[in-house]
This record gives sequence, C-alpha cells and structure tokens, in this order.
Amino acid sequence: MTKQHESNADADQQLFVRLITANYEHLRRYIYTLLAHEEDTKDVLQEVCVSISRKFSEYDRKRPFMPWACRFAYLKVLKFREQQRPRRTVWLPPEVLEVVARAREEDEPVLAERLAALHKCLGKLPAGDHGLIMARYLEQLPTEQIATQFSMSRRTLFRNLERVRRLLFNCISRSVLLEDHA
Amino acid sequence: MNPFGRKSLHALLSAVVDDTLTESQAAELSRLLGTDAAARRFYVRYLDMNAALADMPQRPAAVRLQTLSWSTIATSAAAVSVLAAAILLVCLAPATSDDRSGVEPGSVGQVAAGESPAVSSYVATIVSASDDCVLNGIAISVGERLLPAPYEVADGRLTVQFDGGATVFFEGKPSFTLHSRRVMEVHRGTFVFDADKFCESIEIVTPYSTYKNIGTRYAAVVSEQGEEVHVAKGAVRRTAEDPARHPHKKLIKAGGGVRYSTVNGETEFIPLDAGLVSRSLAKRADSAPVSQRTVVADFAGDGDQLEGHASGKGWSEAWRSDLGFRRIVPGLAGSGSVAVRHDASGEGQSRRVSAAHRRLEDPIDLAQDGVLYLRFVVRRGPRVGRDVHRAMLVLRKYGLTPKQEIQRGSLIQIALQKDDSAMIRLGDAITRASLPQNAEETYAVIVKIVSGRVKPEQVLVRVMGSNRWAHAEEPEEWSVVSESVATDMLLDQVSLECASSSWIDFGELCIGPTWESVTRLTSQQ
Repeated sequence: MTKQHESNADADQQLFVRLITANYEHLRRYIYTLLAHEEDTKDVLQEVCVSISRKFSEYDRKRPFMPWACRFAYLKVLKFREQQRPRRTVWLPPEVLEVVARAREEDEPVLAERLAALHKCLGKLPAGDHGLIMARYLEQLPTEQIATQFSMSRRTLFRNLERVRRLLFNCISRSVLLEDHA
Repeated sequence: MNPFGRKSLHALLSAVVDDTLTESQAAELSRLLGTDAAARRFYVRYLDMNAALADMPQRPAAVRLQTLSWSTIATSAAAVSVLAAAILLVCLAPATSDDRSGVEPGSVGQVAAGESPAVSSYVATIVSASDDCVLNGIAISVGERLLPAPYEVADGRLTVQFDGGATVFFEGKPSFTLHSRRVMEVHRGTFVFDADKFCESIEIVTPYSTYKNIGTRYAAVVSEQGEEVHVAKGAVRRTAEDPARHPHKKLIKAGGGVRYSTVNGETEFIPLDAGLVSRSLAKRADSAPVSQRTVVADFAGDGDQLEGHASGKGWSEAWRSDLGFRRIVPGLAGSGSVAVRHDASGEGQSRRVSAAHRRLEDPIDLAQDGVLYLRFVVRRGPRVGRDVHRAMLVLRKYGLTPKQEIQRGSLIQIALQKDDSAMIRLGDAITRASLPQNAEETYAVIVKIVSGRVKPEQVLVRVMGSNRWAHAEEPEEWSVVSESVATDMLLDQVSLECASSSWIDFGELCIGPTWESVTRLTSQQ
C-alpha cells in the first residue's frame, strides 16, 4: 500500500469514527422508531455500524451523513424483520413501516427541538414522577422492582408511567411551540 | 387528530414502550399509523422521546458481571446490550442532561466532595496548554481528562476538546463549568469555539446568553460589562438570558460580530475581529524521549518457547508461560523483531488457549493521579467458524485467583476478538465496540489509562493499522472508550492470553508515560 493510500485510509477511518460518534444516538433513536424494541434496536444498530464501516468508501462527502446512514438502517431493519420471526405484538406491516420511516425523516427538525426540550421538561417533573422515570430509564430496574420500590401494583405502575410520559410529552410540545413563537 | 385520538394514542404507545400491547391494540395501532399522518407524527415523536429517555447516563446492571465466566459473557444478552451500546468510540454514559444543580467545585478532573456516590463520566480532554497554564491551582498535563465540574484558569491558555469533537480555546483567566459533553457554562474570559458539521453541538451558557453552534467557529469575550461574539464560520444561535433587554433569539451568521452591553442594554453590530476568532494554541508536542519508556517486552533471545525469557526492561521476573506460546522470527516489526505465537491451526494442534504472565518491577497504581500509556502489536490469522478468536492483554494483581479478580473487579483487559470486535474491561465494567479488522494484518493497540486518587479511572483504546501508528500523534478520537469507574487497583502483572482455533501473534509490548513513549518502534531507538 502506498503512503498516499495509507493516509487516505487513515483519514477515512478518522472521519468514520467521528461521524458514527456524532450520530450514534441519533441512529439508535431512528432504528428504535421502526422497531419499538430496545434490545432489537441494539442488535440492528450494531449491524448498521458494521455495514456503514464496510461501505464507507461509497459515502459522498458532499452530502449529509445521516440520510445516508438512515438508509442503511432502514434496510437493516427490513432484513432483521425478515430473518427474525415476529416475537412481539408490535410488528408493523412493511407498507406502514415505510410511511413511518418517511414521517420520521420529515419530522427530524422538530425531533431535534423536542430533544432539547426534553431535558428541561424532565427538570420540571415532580420529585415522585422524576424518581419513577429514573428507575425505569436511568437505573433500568425490572418492572417488579420498581413496583415494589414505589409501593404500587404492576398495573398501577404502568398507568403511572403512561401518565408521566404524557406529562413529559405535553411539556415538550408546549415548549417547542413557545420556542417557535418566540 | 382530535383530543380523544390523542388520549387513545398515549395509552397505545405507552403500552408499546412497556411491551404490554395486546394483539387487538397492535392491530389498532397499525391501522392508525397506516391511515393517519398526524398519528404517524405522534408515534414518531413519542417513540423518539422514549428512546431519548433510554439514552440518559447509565451504568447498566448487566456490566456487573461478578459471577459470569468469559463464555457466559460472550453469549449473554446482557453483554450484547453492552456491546451494542459501545459501538465505535461511544462513551457509555453520554451526559445529555443539562441539569446544572449537582455541580460542586472541584480540582482538575476531580469528583467534588459531597458528590453522590454515582461515578461521574469524563466529558472532555485537555488537548493543548501553554507552559504556564494553571487550572484549579494545579499545573495541568496535556491529555488529562476532565469531569463535569467548575474550572478556574489562573494563568495561561488551554484548549479543551469535548468528547463529541468540538474544541474550545480559552484565555484571559477564564472561569467555566463543564456540565456534560454537550453543555458548558463560561462565567468569564475569552473563548474560541471550533466545530464542524461532524461534531456534536455544544450549548455554551454565559451570564447573559446561551449559544448553540451550527457548524461553527466563533469567539466570545465574556465580562461584567457584557459580551461580544464574532462568528467566522457557520452560524451561532443566541438565546438571551434577559429577553427584556435584548432580542430573545438571534441567529448570528458568519462574517460579523455583535456586542451586548449589560451597562446600557444596547446591542451593537461590530466588524468581525478576525484576529480574535483565529486564536488557538498548537498542540504541545510531547518530546519525551524513548528512554523514558519504563517497560518493554521485545521477546528477544534464543529458543522456541516464551517460558523463562527475560529480555526487555521494567520487569521483576521472566515470562511464565504454559508453553502455548512459541517465539517466531521475524516478528511484527520486520527484520530484527521477534514475536510470540499462539497456534491452534495446525494439524494435531488442539490447544485453543494460551497464556503468558510477567510481573512488573513497578506496579501500576490506579489510586494515584496520572495518565499511563501501553502499546502492544498483534496479528491474528483467519477466524475459524464462530470462534471467539480472542487476543487479550490483561493487567492484573499477582496472586489473585480468577474468581477473586472478578469479585474484586481488580483487572483491566483489552481484547481484539472475532473479526470485528474490540473490548475493554475496567474493573467490573465491560465496554465493547464493533471494529472490523482484516485477518493476517498487523495492528497496534494503544491504550491510555487515566487514573486518580479521587477521580474515576478510564481506559481508552485506539487500534491502528501497521505503519501508521509509529509516527501518529495522539488521536482526537479513540476506537473504544470505557466507562468511568471508581477503583483503587494496584496492578503488578501483565498477561497475554489467547483463545482461538487459529493463530495469533503478539509483537513488542511497552508501557510508558506518554503517547510518544510507546509509539516509537524499538528499531528506531
């Protein structure tokens, strides 16, 4: 290999690492939207990263990275669904998956705003609700353990989680709306 | 979508994310998403919020693998979750919260007294500093990692690089607080922010404004009289802290400057100060001579077996090997070099596992403040089937049984395995990354170990192709970055371990105080 080739390969590797690092969480959220399952999302994300690294020489530097990467992710999601027998109830038909993926792409600017607002809204939650979210997402405790910790039945726990997510979702929507009008 | 539909979707989607959806609910959801554009937007936003919540800083219980064997680790779903979370230079705990309430004053990279028992994660690195630079009362070292904490620069200048790629150059006795890898407060001083479209955006909060970069190089001077901002590249979105005095939101585009006065509340457009925006500090070349290298193993000498070989320096004894390794010439650095080979590929070769151990003259004390570098060279043959094909270097405490090591979390492991995986184990935390490698190609694995009396430990690994690493500078990006883990390990033994049905070669190994001290070839000494 010539020095020039080595230098190009090194630059490619550096750029690849930078792009994946910067967009990793974004890609994860994209895949999660299509699969609605955290473990499956992790499996597919890993595949996507490997695929992107192998095809990185085909990436056109003049174009934004995320749409290119999302295309890989979308195809990997389809392949994943073909290979895995549906093991969950949420298994959107392919035609629905396609329109959901398109909706996500069109909504990206709003999603970025909403992501920024999420952190502020989390800070506004009452202590008890905040604790519930921390137990569910930060500590990733099993459902039974959270229910025991918060002295509630499993059913009540799910209702409370639904309520707190609704609070958050509405807070984010209001916050983004206010920003738009500012 | 009407309020009733929205309420119904909240219930449906909450069931989706909690995995409690019934089949009839699933059918209803499919119908809604297929026919209603508003429902699709709602779905996308709801699931994105849930995914973002799952991205909060975390320490998965799954990585506390105190009783798991290696084979269990490789196959457990829990480990797979860690593997996926670590793909390619991904910090396991990207601090995305902008909660600033928990930050207490601290020294450089120090966890403040009174902090919660949870271990903070490093968010940035000092990439350059003037010789006179003093941070929080301590002369700083380039390469030092920074935790979320307040920082005061009494003298000198420095450049901080966030883990998301953006750099900030400081001068003028700045005072700043790092909150996360995406949020920083600048209380006073001059800073020059530099990022491109590939970097994570950083929110910089000043007493009067919040700035967010959009592929940007910009400079700001923050003082009690106000602040001025000059944008050289891209754009900056400014949100005023006091909307009564200044426009609430303003996009400042490249080519100009704006001055905000707190004395009279005026906003003044000013010409771009190109000199200010171009200020920077070259990376300080670390000129540590190779002779500062403290530990070298070059496997030189006679004989086929590694057992009993005592070449190199910085060791208190010869290699102890289970005869799985044999020496080969030439090694991985060409003529004159020697390597050791694990080989289970030949006919009649049934030994899948090899190990060699050697004790260090001076133990590595992770209870002390410092940065240490380690480099080894490795070449692996073609992977056989679904073999783990692991080449691993282990830093451990001599005399502990494997069970004690696991229970005490007293070891560091760095491994290349399968065709495309790299792994760091720091104490009881495992981080894996997808890192495609070619069979029969030589790679240098360069390891940076950050340790401290009070601050947590972290291990960063860069895997580089042959011929590139010998002259490379310390990289801005690392291939794998471990979690930040609080430990007080004392490590006095290095082990080379292979588990493979193919062959694996280890070339020269060295440990030293700087990147340069471990990336010079022996033949160049």
